[in-house]
Amino acid sequence: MNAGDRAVLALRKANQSQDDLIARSLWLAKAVDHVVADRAVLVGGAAVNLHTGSYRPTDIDMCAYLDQSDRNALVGLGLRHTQGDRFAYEFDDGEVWLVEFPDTQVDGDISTIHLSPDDRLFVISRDSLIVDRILQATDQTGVTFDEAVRLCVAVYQEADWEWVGNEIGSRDLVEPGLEIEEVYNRVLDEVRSLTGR
Amino acid sequence: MADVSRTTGITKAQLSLIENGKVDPRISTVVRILECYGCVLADLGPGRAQRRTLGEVRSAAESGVSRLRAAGLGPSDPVARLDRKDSLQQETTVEREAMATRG
Repeated sequence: MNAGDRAVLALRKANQSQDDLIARSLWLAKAVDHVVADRAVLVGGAAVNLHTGSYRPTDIDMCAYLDQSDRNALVGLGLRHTQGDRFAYEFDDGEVWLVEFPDTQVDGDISTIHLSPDDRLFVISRDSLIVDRILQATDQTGVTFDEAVRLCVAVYQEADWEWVGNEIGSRDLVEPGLEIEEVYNRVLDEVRSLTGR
Repeated sequence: MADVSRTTGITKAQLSLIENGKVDPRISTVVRILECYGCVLADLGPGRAQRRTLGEVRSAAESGVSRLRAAGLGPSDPVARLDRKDSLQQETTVEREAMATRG
């Protein structure tokens, strides 16, 4: 079976996952990964939802380098090209999801999800995702701060906080103007207050 | 990549497929590539990377929902996320259209 056929099968599974946001997002991402030549890695809100279960993503963000043949392949799969490296896919039930490629490379470590024996999907790792969400929260809006807190509460027991702290510290040295460490400490204070730890 | 190909005897095309995650290499192939860099399998270590099944991902998400609920946090608000994007003057028209298709 070639990549195009496997993409169609993955998309079918995404269509069948009507009441399962996680399966829908992962199978849609896998369909995209099948037709894109580069390795596509799921990042952003759909990746957060894998840990919090309550993000309610309306799109999937993937890191991959796209050339024109990749864009054509995505359109051939049934996605609508909206602008730049943004696409939209309308499921059979009428739900529309956006597929965006914000970066060519993932900033962090990568985990693997085995959707089936033949379908594995690359996803930004939990601890790298925490760092990513803290970086997002440096925009000083309440929304990104709340999202960072939610993720940290959801994975509080499993995350490797020593590694996350070291990573945040090294980012803070590179970009001191963003006050990453200060935001991280505020997020942790909020998490401790909410979880009573 | 040419050097690795020459040293390991693995074609550049095959190395590219492995690098991009398009094929699962055999352990013996992985070992040859690692040897080329003076490493062994154990050097890969557990790291940050995890390997999970869809079922395990679902369980983790359910656990996340429970912990958020215990902390008094409900689902996140996708409208607030879009409002933030608007405030940063980012394009949200298509996203708002997509959101309108949700039940």
